[in-house]
Parts: sequence; C-alpha cells; structure tokens
Amino acid sequence: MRSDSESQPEGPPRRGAAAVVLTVVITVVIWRALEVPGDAASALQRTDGLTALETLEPRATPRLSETQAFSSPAWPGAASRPSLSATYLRSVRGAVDEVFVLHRDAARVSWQSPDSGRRVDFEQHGLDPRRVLSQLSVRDEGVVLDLALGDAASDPSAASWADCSLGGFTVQELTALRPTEATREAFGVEFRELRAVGEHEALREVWWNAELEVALEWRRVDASGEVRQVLQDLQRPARAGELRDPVERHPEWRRLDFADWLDEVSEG
Amino acid sequence: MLARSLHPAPKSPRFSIPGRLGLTAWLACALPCGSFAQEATRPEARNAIFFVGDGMGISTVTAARVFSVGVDGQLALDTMPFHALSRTASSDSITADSAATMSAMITGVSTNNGVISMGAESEPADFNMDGDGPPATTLFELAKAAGKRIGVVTTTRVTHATPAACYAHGNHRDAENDFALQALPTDASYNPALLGGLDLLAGGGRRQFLDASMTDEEGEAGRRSDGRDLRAEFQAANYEYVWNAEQWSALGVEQLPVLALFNSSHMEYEHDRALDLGGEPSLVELTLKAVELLEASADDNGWLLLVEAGRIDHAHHGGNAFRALRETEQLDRAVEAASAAVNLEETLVLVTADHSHGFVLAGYPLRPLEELPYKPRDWDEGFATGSARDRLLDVAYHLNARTGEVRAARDANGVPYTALLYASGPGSRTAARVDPREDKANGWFGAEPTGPRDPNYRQEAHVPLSSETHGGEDVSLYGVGAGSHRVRGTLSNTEIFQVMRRALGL
Repeated sequence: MRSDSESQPEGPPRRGAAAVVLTVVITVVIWRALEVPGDAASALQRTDGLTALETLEPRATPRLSETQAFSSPAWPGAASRPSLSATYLRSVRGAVDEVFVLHRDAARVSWQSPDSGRRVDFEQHGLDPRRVLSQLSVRDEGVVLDLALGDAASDPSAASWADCSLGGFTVQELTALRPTEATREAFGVEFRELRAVGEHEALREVWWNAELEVALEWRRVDASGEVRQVLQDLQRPARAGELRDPVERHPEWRRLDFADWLDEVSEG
Repeated sequence: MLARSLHPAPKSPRFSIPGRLGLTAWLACALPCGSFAQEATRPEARNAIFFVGDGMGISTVTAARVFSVGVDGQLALDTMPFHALSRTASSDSITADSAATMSAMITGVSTNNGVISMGAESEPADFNMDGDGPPATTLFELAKAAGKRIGVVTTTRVTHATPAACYAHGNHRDAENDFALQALPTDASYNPALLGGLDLLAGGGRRQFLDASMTDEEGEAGRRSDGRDLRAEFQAANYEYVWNAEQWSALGVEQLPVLALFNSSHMEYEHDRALDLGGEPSLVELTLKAVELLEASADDNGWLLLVEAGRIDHAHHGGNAFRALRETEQLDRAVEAASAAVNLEETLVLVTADHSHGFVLAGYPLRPLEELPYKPRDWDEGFATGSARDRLLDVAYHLNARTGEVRAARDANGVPYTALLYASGPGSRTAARVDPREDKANGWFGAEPTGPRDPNYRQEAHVPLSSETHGGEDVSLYGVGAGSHRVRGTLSNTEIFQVMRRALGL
C-alpha cells in the first residue's frame, strides 16, 4: 500500500516539508559536530560493528640494545690536592689556540675558558666524594646551568672528582703513562716526563709534578690531530674568589637546569 | 586498607545532558549545548594507560625502530592495531610546546603555549594582567570523581609541564613549586578536584619539594623558598615516600598512596642511568610497578595512569640523537611490558607524542651489507661490518649503480654526511663541514666523539641555535585494548581526551 506522502503529486515543496528537511539537515549537522572525535567519527561508525578488541601481536624481532648496557666509568679514589690556579694555552689540532684556566682547592675545581665566556665549576659530592656536582656558567646568556651526573660524565675528564681535578685528561690515562728520566723546571717547580708505552694511547706525553699534582704540558693525539696544553702561569694558592660558588659569584644570573635551559631557549 | 580509607567511595559522574537522541532533540530546540555528549552505554574500558613520548615525532619513531630492532623489525608500537595522526598546534602557535599539548590531550581544551590545563583565555603568565579563565577539567580529575585510582609516572620532574597538566592548573609551566602544592592534600592551594588525591606520583623533581636550605638524599639542595619539606608533608598526609629503585621495587599495594622522587631534577637519561647515586628505576620498571600497584588497589572502577618518556625531548633539544633514540626505545619497551601485564579486554592503552622535533632521517643510507638483496662489487671498509643501528647513525653509504660499488655519500664539496640530521640546534658547525667520522667538535657536554656512532656525537644542524626546536607536523597516535578502535583518521590532540573519556565512560 502506498502511503499518502508517496501519492503526493510532484510540485513545489510545501513549507512544512521544507521545515522537515531543514530540521533533518540541522540535526545531522549537529549530530556530526557533537560526535567525538571529530574526524574519527566516521571511523568510529565503521568500526563499531567490529568486536572492538584487538591485542598486540607478538613482536618477533630482538632488540639491538640487549647487549648495549651502559658501563659506568671507574671512579678513582677521592683526592685532596693543593690549592692552585694554573693558566694554560691550549692548541687544538693546529687550528685553535685558547686560554684555559684551572682553579682548584680541596673542595672545588673550576675550568675557565675566558675567550668563550664559559666556565664549568665542580664541587665534590657531599655524599660520595668520588663524584662531582657540576655547573656551567655562560657569560653571554647570564645563566648558571646545573648539569646532571650523566651530562658531565660524557666528558671522561669531567666524570669524577679525581678526573676533573686534572683539567684535561683522566686519572686512568695518567696512570697508564711511564716516567722517563727527563725533567724540566718551570715556575719554581720540577716536572718529570711521563710517556705513553704504546702508540695506541691517545694521551702521549705529560710533564708532571706529583707533589702538586699539576701538569706543565700535555699532548694528546688521535686520528683527527693533536691537542697540546702548555702551562703559562702557576699561582699557589688559587686566586681569591675564583672558587666561590657560581651562584654567589653571579647573584644576578639565573640558575636553571641545562635541560630546562634548552627547553627555554628553544621555545623562546 | 589505608589507601582505600584515604580515597572515599566515588560518586558516579553522570552529566545531566541526555543521551544521543535526546540530545539531538534538545539541540534541535535551539537550547544551549554542552560539549560532553554522554552515551548511554557502559564504559568499554575499566582502566587506561596514556603513554606520552615527549617530542617523539614520526621520524623519531622510525629511527628508533631501526635503532632498536632493525629496518624490518617491529617495535611494540608497530604491533598496535589502531593508529591515527594527531594535530599538535596550540591555540597561539603552529608549533606547540609540551604545556599546551599535554593540556589539550588531557583536558580536551586547546590552550596557549606555556599554560597548564587552563583555557585559551589564559595568556602565558597572564602578561596582559587581565586574569585567567577557569581551569580546564582534566581526565584525571574526572577519573578520580569516578572512583578510579590515578597515577602519574614520568622521567622528568613530576612538576614538569606534561605530568603537571594531569593534576594541576596554572598560567605558566615554570610555577613548579606551586604545582607540588596542588598535589598535596593538606595544603591550602591543593587542587580540590583531585578529591582524595593522586594515588601515585613518581619521577624526578625532589628539589621542588624541598627548601633551598635543605639537602636531599643524594646531596642536592632544594629550590623552594618557603622553608618547607614537602616530602615530610606528603608523609603526614599518609603518602608513602620513596626515593630510589630498591625502595620502588619493594613497594606493596598497602603503601598507596605513593610519592616517589628519584632525582633532584629530571631522572637520568637511560643511557646514563647507571651513574645515578641512589639508583633509579628504568621507565619499564616504573611502568610495571605503577600498573601492579594501581591494579591491586583498584575496585571495579579501575584506574588511569600517565606514563611519560620525557627526556626524548631533552636529548633532541641537545642535538643528540643517540640518547633520544634510547629514550624512545625505553618507551616502546614500557608499552610492550605494560600491554602484556594488563587485561586488554578492560584496559585502553594509548601512545602518542605531544609534538615533534626538527629531526630527519634522510640521505638514502643503505641497509647493512648482509641485508642487501645483491652483493656489491666493492665497498668502503666502514661499510663492511655493522648493524642496522650502525648504518643509521654512521655516515650514509650509497650504491653507485654504474659501478656496483658502495661508497660514503658526499656533499657538493665531497665531504661525507650522516643520515640523521637536525634542522636547527647546537649541532651546527661554525667551521666548514668535515667528515663526521673525524669530527671532534661539538660533542655532548664537551665529549670528543669518536664518530657519528658515538653516543656523545651531536648530529649536524642547519640553523645554529643553542637548542634544537620542536617540529610542528602531526604525530602518531597508537591504540590497543578496550575502546582503542576510535584511534583512526586525523584527530586534533584535544580529541585524544575524548577517545579516553568515552572509553572510560567518564
């Protein structure tokens, strides 16, 4: 049986029909607008008919990292060395000459690179004397940045209290060298030559005073060239004020984490 | 049970807006509409885990796949049955920050960069001084009101932007000391929408809980200026406080609620985790214990958990792909472990990123020699050995189709280059490009890398910036488990909130 509506003759739509159509259109528009998530709405309708549970397939491939366990560097014993300020000229692969200053006392070490306006201050860890807490000060930015243990440890010569006290090489590298008979005197101090046993050691040569635990000169060689550091000035004890906490030294500078600073400068 | 007594039985959250047909009729009558359409169906998911890889753009996931399981391997993410793209723009920026994006994902409300779970009428730090709008209700607040256990786990400080957006509100992400108070039930500025409180809060950030005059368990000073020790105050509010991996692994369900703070600041990168003084759990260990505790303590109402791998972003900012990929791999392992530990018939697992980074995998690097479907006639020594990871990190090697030889790909000046690169950041070289295998410059924190495979190598960047920047392209959203079928198409990040809300019936 045909309905009354179906039997309506063709002709201009009546006002009531238009209202119905308009209501349906508005309803559909509103319905779609309310359906969430927006673009996934149709996807949802397509998938609602499925049993909407799927599980993870077994992941068959082995991880390449299984054998990549990180090995912590060896931590040399705590050291308490004479207080001094040592100014070096560092030549980097024949291309760069820069001033490098090492300040040191029993509880703090500072590496200063005046040309770059950067400085790293190390403080012996209060709970584990083998470790260091380190801060990077950046003059142009007016910031003191706290470094995480892992950040500092990326540079082996800054990885521990004993290492950072040497200012450019590690205790392990130093102890691998063998003394020769050669000596030199400078700044009223005698330095003995220590040389690498084989050609595979990167640290080839150090002129070393064991009492002050300070180098007159050292030379490192690798595939990309040579780094040499030569003492220009030696003061004992360390210059006054150089080993103050950087936050006290620059109270007007901001202090934040290195990672947060990266976030901040990235995001403006 | 102590935990239960601290968390009163919830009222079932039911909005007064009627179901779909009623709603349609209601709207057809031109009445004011609400944004929450409540389906008259039972919740599909009792529980949900929301994994966020901070800065884990699509190129990062692809590179992490090669890094972790090889070119043809499968990450756990690759096995998730539902996938969508998520748009990440914030209310005021084409390229967003973590504060805005996490706020969008966890409240369903778009906001401005720097703002934590407030609406777009809140400018960062209220620079117009015209006041803030109301806070935007978070999924965690809705879940708590529905009687669910709620937990937040991160590798950043627990007061950092992504975790804070779950339980706190503020017009600037830097107000981390305040966010710590918003989680403390006995404090005047406590977020009352958390009702009985977070059941679990774990990550780094002890310094936000300690006065500057105090030293924490690992010898580092606090950053508060109000003389307070929030560790003690949380304990007074019946929270169990732990600070190292051993304590974390020993936690039992009777000890909820828990505050776990493993580092003064952010937790260490996975690559550096062994260096931590007190011992930090991995993200996998964090996730599995959190799931165990929440599941054991929850009643029929279930639980909701955020897991953030927050340091993918930090490594990218620092221009170090190796650490970013290790962090991403950890997130993938956590997803795999958690998905195996829960009942997916009643648990929704979503994984996404808040934004991307200007990080590319380019330059046509060949697969490892043993994976090639042909035998080259000759090859450089550097190509002779190495896994897919080595081929990913190393200089790119190309096949010369005329000669059949594999050689290091070279730029217009004849200098080799790597496949992984950044658009901007600290990896920019000020001097002329040199062979990355001999490039000692610009390593991670002063390290002199032995080449591009070295974990401390910083990939080259085009624009010299102190910090590499976020990327503005869409990111992936992965889903598995109850209610995950809504993960399809291209969604706004605000709609991720709706996916979870609907699955949980909130």
